[in-house]
Amino acid sequence: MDDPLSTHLTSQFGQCSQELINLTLTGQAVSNVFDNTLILHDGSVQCRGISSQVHIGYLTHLEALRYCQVGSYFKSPKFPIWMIGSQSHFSVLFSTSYDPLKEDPTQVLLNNCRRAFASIPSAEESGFIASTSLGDVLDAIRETEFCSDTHNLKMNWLHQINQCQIDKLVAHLEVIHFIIVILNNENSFLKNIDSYYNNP
Amino acid sequence: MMLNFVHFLSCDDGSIPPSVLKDIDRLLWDQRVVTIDDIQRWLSQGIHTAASSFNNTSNASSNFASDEMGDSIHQWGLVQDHGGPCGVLAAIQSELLALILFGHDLPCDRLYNKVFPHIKRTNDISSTTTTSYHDTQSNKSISIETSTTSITTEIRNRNETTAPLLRIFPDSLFNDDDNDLQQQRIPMIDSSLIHRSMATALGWILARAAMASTSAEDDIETIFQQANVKLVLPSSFCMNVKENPVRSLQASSTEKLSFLRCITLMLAQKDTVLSHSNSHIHSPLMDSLFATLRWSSPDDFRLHIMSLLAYCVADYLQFSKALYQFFNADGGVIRFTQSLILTRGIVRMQQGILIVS
Repeated sequence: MDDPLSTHLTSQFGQCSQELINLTLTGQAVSNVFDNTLILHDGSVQCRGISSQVHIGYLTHLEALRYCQVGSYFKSPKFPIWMIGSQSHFSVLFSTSYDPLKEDPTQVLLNNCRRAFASIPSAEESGFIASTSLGDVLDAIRETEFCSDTHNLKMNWLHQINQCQIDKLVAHLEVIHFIIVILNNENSFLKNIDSYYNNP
Repeated sequence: MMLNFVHFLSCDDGSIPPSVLKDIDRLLWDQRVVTIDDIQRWLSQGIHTAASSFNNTSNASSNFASDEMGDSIHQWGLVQDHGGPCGVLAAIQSELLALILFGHDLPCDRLYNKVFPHIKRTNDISSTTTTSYHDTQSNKSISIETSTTSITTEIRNRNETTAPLLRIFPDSLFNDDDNDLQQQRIPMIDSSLIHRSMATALGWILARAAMASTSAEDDIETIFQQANVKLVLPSSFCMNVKENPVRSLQASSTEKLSFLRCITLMLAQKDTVLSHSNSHIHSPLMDSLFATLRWSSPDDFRLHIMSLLAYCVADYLQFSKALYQFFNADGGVIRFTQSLILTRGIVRMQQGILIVS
């Protein structure tokens, strides 16, 4: 719970709170639906989210209203079953086949990149990272298990890249005054690096 | 890596101190907004399907018994009588569906198959669209055929040559253009499957709460230490269940929450002395499963122990009839939620914000 003193497991009209939902779905009574832990204010405040893939997913109308963003752990559960949070009711959406869970490899890579990007303190809220953190992000991407398949996406360079090359890349970014790497839509972040690496 | 563990299902039933119940209440209800009606709706809601309704047994049978298999949603769909606890019900419903539809794909596939020992799954290699089950108890074969427009279940008695077709899901659920239904494995939905899956679903939710990590660093020893699940049952239920199930059934429906006792189910490592437990329920099935456990990482180990714990809870709920007599009855949702909170522990739940000065 992000705020243990004033958090309750039910809210008005006896509705279940997000903490109780998360407790049933993940075993942890965390307060957020995004992936992993969000670190704010230079690490002094941690907002805990979902820490690993879950059996049952969770989707909410609040995301459609742009009040929150559900992380990929909840969106891509192990089984094609999602709990649906709507305005006044929780219900269940399920499929009898695994097809709805089939993800585009690019999408998987993008999710991994997003998580790697968000692992840098304050990156998620500001949308950018310091160029010195680029190596950490690339390391985090490399650690994700999916990277073993990235050769399909011509991402071999990600495994071959060494510290020296990362330094060169960072130096180049600074030379051209492109010191902010923005992870927006598409995987522009990786494409930028990719295009640099392939055509230095 | 393989360790030789012996599994005990130990019942450590002790009364819950009133202070703990108060703490649970404080955590559960926001005193600023909650009303008596809100709480009352939670207290009146049980965890039951239309077919297994505890309170309306007569009504349910008149409505659904004639159509025992056809409309299977009555078998697996939980019924909500009161607003409020829909989140907990939706979670249980999700787990229930996951076990019915995809239970065979859990990492503990062999565990699951042993949990349903009388239903053997045989895959017909020549036809990818047919999955066959053989029930040795009732001597029936079931084959499930998947077509592009519907999923049909065929029950074939050995003596009969003609086979009635049962539809698990209506045609309208599936698009005519959808050809990707070949991988589906829908077991025949009968009351014993639902009963077992319901118990296991509750077990999974509790086991996860017991064992989900609070910190990044975990070794196998600490995982094992976390392996206990607490069930909240009324005291009269605990005392009477062995001698007089009927009496306890009557008692539990009128039981007030103040007579609750806590039953702890735990997995014990071999040679561990459980000093404070009153009884051991030895489960030979679980022993044999435990002996075959193998794992590759602490996370993998955690998952295996979690599933064992889930099946332990399911065993207990079925063995003691606690599932139907207690969680299905009015107030089942609140008792399950209390179990969940006690299992997770209030201290662990309130770990959250971390102020580093």
